[in-house]
Amino acid sequence: MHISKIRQIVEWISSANLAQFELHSGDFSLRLTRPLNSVASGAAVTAQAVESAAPAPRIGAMATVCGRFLSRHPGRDTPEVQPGDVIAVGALIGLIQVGDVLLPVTATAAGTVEAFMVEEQQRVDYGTALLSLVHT
Amino acid sequence: MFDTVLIANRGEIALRIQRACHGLGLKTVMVYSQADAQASYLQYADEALCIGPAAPGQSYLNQQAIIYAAQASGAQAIHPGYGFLSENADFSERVEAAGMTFIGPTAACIRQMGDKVAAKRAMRKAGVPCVPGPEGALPDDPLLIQRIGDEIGYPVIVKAAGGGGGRGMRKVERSEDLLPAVSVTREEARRAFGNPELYIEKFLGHPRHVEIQVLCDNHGRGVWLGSRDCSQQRRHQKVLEEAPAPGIDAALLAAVGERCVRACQQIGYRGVGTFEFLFEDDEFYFIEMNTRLQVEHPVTELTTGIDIVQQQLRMAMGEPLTYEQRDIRTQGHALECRINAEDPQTFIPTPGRVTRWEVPGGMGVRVDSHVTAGYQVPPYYDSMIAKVITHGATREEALARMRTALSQLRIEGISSNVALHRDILQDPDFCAGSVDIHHLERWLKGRRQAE
Repeated sequence: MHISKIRQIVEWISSANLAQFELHSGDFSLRLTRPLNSVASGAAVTAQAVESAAPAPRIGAMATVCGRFLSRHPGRDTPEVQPGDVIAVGALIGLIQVGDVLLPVTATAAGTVEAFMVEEQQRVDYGTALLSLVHT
Repeated sequence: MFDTVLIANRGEIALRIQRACHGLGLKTVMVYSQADAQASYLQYADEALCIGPAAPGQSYLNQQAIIYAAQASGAQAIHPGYGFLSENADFSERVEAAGMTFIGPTAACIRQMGDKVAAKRAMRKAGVPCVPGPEGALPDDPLLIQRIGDEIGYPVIVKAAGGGGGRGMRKVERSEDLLPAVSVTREEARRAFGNPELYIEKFLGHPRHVEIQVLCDNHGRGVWLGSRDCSQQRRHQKVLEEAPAPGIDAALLAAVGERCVRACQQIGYRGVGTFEFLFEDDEFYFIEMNTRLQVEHPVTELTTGIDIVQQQLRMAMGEPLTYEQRDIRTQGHALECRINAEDPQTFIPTPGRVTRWEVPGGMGVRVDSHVTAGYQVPPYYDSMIAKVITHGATREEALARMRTALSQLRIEGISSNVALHRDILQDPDFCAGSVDIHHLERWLKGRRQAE
């Protein structure tokens, strides 16, 4: 299991407002717990969010290396994805350029693209959020 | 040449290297893991880039991520610090293959010194004294092994060629125990280091750990910077170091120091390095060479007046050494206490938030640390949080300054081993000088039994 999957699971249990999550497989077992007050305040935040309509962005992809973000391959005219596109996990959403190397960036969550969260050619590093998805 | 250095490390040494770079007008790129994102030293860097999550394997040991960070930021050189990738020959090679300068020796030198058998062979060739034992790896033939052991005389120690830091070694007291010990150690070495090669040496009963710092430029010139004594160890980890090593004849030390420099010239060594020796009954025995900057380099800086990290950067830029051996003078005495975030009794690491942090100062007192009040000590890395270093005209003066300095070091929020250091500084045997490498363990055991 890749460590990035844990991030995805944390997002799921947070959005579902679960207190505990357990996963067992042949090689490992994983248990994630959230403190009860955070579960309660999480619920409060959700309730508030409905009123203020300013929820945290839903991250569709993040940078895993240092480099410059490109929303399209230099050989193409159009970005890999555009707001409104429906994407699946693993979909190519852009590239990170390091020197002469172009590294693909893939979606870590599925959904409808809301917007890019960085400028074209912006310097990004590990963990920089790149793409937001529309809340469902 | 380079004008921007990427610092591929964390904690106090990342800050130490950053200061040396800025002192030379070099720009710095600091890479960090998510666990270190709040560290204050990142603010002073010209650029700071996150390279991965907390786990060292995905950040500070992630060669590809570090090289990408260097390319993305335009750094032309990489300083590995100590630990992590500092003695990784493959990393050195990859950095150079990417057209950047690795601030350290060539991959070939790192490999040669990382292989204990090859290192010992090179040292013998240069006349550096080694522990009695055959030059090569142990043969497979039991009869030959037995003959070698009997020739050295017991006790002997069987060591894995790929081991180090106390791992992969076994003491043998009697002739009849040799063959079983060899087969167990060989199997362990195969599993732990992927290299079943073993070698065998005379076992020394009460040695001190004495080491010699060298500087070598890219033009074949080298100097040695006196001695350090790092005999105060717990589980093969140094706790308290000093320079110079007390009570060693100057002419004897000079003869060994000169041979260390000669060995460097013979193997084409460049940069900073340390020759580690066991020292017993006025004899030096080479154990290994560290092909990197060491934690305890400041005690040598204080006694020689040479900024070792700055000199390392200058040599990596191709500058020749501007002084010769006769210009090197050591003055006074220096001590270094490694302050760890750990319980002073159980030695269990105590990560957490530092709520109060006040460090001592004054004449002859130096504190190298990345910690500030409010700093969160992460649980993922080495527990060292500071080095308190004192210098005095004499060892007694350096000791007195250290006692005062530690009494004025205030750390709250987490436990630290300051109390242990305060006790060591009251130990009459240590204060008299020249304790052996087992002294601290014996002293700790005595203390436990007394309680």
